[in-house]
Amino acid sequence: MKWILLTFICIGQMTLASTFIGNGGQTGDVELAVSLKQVRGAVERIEALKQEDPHKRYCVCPENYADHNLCEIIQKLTEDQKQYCDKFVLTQLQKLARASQTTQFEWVQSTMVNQNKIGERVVDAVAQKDKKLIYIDQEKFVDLTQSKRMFLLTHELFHMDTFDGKNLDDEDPIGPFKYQYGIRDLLNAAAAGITLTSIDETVFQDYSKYLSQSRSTRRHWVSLMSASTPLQDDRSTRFKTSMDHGARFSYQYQFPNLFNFGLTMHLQNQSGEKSIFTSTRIKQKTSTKAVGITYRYFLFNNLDPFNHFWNTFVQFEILTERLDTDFNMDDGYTNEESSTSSTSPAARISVYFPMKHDFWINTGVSFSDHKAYFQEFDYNLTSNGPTFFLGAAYGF
Amino acid sequence: MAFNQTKKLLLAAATATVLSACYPGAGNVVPDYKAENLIGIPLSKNSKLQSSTDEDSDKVVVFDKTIRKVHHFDLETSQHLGLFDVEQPEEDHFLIYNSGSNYFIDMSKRHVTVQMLSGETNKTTTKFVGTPISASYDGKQGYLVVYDSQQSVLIYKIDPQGRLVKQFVSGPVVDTLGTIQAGDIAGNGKLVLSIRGNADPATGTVTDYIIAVDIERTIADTNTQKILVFDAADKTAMTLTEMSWVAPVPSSPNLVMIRSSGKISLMDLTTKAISSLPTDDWVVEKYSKIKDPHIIFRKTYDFYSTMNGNVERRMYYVENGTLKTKIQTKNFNYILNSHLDLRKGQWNVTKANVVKEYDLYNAYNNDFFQGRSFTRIRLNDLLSIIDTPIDDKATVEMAGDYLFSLFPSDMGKATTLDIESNKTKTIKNFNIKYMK
Repeated sequence: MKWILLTFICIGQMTLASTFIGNGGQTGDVELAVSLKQVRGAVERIEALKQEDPHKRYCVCPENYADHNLCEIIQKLTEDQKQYCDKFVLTQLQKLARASQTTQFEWVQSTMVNQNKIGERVVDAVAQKDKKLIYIDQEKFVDLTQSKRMFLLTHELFHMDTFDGKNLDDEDPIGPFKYQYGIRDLLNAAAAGITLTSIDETVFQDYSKYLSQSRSTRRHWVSLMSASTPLQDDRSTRFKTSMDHGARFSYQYQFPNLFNFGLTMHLQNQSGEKSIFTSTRIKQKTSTKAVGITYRYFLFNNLDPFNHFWNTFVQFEILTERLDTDFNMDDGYTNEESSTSSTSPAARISVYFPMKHDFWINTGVSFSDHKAYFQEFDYNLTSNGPTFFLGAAYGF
Repeated sequence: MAFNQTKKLLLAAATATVLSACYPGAGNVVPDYKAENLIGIPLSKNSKLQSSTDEDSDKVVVFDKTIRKVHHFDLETSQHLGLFDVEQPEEDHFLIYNSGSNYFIDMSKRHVTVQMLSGETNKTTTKFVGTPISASYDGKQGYLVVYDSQQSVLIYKIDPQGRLVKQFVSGPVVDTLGTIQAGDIAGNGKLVLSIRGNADPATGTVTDYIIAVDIERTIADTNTQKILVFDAADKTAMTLTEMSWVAPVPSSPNLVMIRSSGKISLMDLTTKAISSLPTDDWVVEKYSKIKDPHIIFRKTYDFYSTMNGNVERRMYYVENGTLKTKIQTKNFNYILNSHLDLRKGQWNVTKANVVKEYDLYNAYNNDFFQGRSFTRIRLNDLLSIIDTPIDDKATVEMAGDYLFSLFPSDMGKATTLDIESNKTKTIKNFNIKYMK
């Protein structure tokens, strides 16, 4: 590892790195946590298999997964290399398990280049054994398939310990891998073998379900909610119309590294109808537009990320809200219409409950201070109290 | 139902013919099925805009059956002037209003209320058993006579401030003479009543009377006997019988027009002189005291000829102290309201051209809501000079040169048609502020 010079190349942005702390607060946290679970699960399963069948081989392609892309790595090996790989796997199992518990991870938001004796190459992850630290390219890691993530993580974790008293540096030859980068091929073969074994033994799949959990780390959010009725008839006159129809749509941009702040925009249409006296129909329509800022507070930071509600959060919104409303009355003989507008600060507090596949349920309460006067009807409406809403959101 | 009604009418006519044959001298008279037998003008289920003797009104009050309140409109400016709550809004309301007054009279079941236009309400404490069915109003004297469904006669005096300062209640029997049949307040300020006489115990002869009640003495506190007070000179034994309609002649305070069995008569209350015209076996189609009293007779009850417009009509009226007639042989189907204005030489008629009911004799504008129209006829030659349709469903009243229509609109919609210029103005949404 001493020969590795790690360089972060800035590509049009500042070099950023952040530590994985396992609470799901960052992009890729869940994927990494799942991959770690899968590695540990695979170690436990192989230990069990070792007891059941001491001669079982791991650096082979399982019959059912012969066309898996990880098999290409194994299929290139000679029989000697495969046997050496099997020995390596069984020998390093407990070290791998230990490394999965003790290693720190750090996300890198820029391209990483590994500079070594023969030149530079772009890498997805880099292990630093002395610091017990693995750097991972956040964006690439998230974009990998599950099996590739486990494969990559297993490979990097092998670097965190020794084999036969030697550090495992990619460039060195080892055993039947008698050429430069022999260790890299050995670690690749062992990582592929463990990953394929865990897939074949269905240990891998046990943790896949956690990946479908909704993530609060999405940048773009759209939400469809029940309309919040901002105007109310305090005096409960006959004109009081229940605004039964309508919905509120919001778009929110969540800054990725700005202390849980975001920007939001709301559009709401709402209408209600009723009949009074013998034949009079009242129709009230309200159109609301709002822009503002949002702030999120995560309620269960300390929960296991595999707990369903681990990334439930409360969102606070401060908005400037513009309301346009029409009041129409028609009795079949005559009609009258009145329109008015109001601009008011508004606030919303909502709780977001994660569902699956980045869908969320949100519910909360909104406040505003609108006043509307329909002159033709001498009719006043005000927003004098909280209104509750319920909706569904999607992050992407 | 309608067929039964026709059959009933034909049967009744036939029966009357048979009966007249059995009693020589009785004449060939068809029973007057729509005899009013009322004091004043009938209170239809809709408002009356003015008393029969008042000048043309440019303001009206009207009871709105939709919102069960009373509106006050200015027809000339097409403005809604006010809205008034009523006692017993669920009941029918009958209104009397003189355009110059600062109050209107609201009559409903067992109640008479004087409503000030300023909003103040003077309510009468009089309780009577029946429902008002007719009324006579003399705006100048402040006399109001109400006749109810139980034949009670209620006399009120209303001062210029709209206070009910006097009231009197009587049953229909007058002294030993008989029972009130019809009447009205005459131009001389007296309540002229036709009395259906009692049979003489000795001879069995029935004599009907005309009396002219002194209203002021009747309602005076000194009238401790609580009877209708009249001078002996104002009691006239009549040769006319079954006087079912008595109408004062506005241009002549001492003249009254009388409908009696087989005759239309004109009586001078001072000289007692009576002139009559025979009505043969024709039937009354319309009684009207607005503005100049007149009766329209139809030659036949026959529904089919009426439907085809082949109706011979004869209008009896009084002009220059003389009974006169005008005859039509073919014209509109059914008369609803009929206003005769001799001073202007106009006969204004609302009529129904679509027939869905056979029994439209002596009906009114708002007894029928389809296929109505308004016609203004020049009286001297009966030339129809204006003919305009009336909106279906609208409650319609004629007031002076305006045809006023109030629609059954919750929010409020009315139109005023200036009959001469044929221009319509719409007043709308006047109820909105009261609907909350």
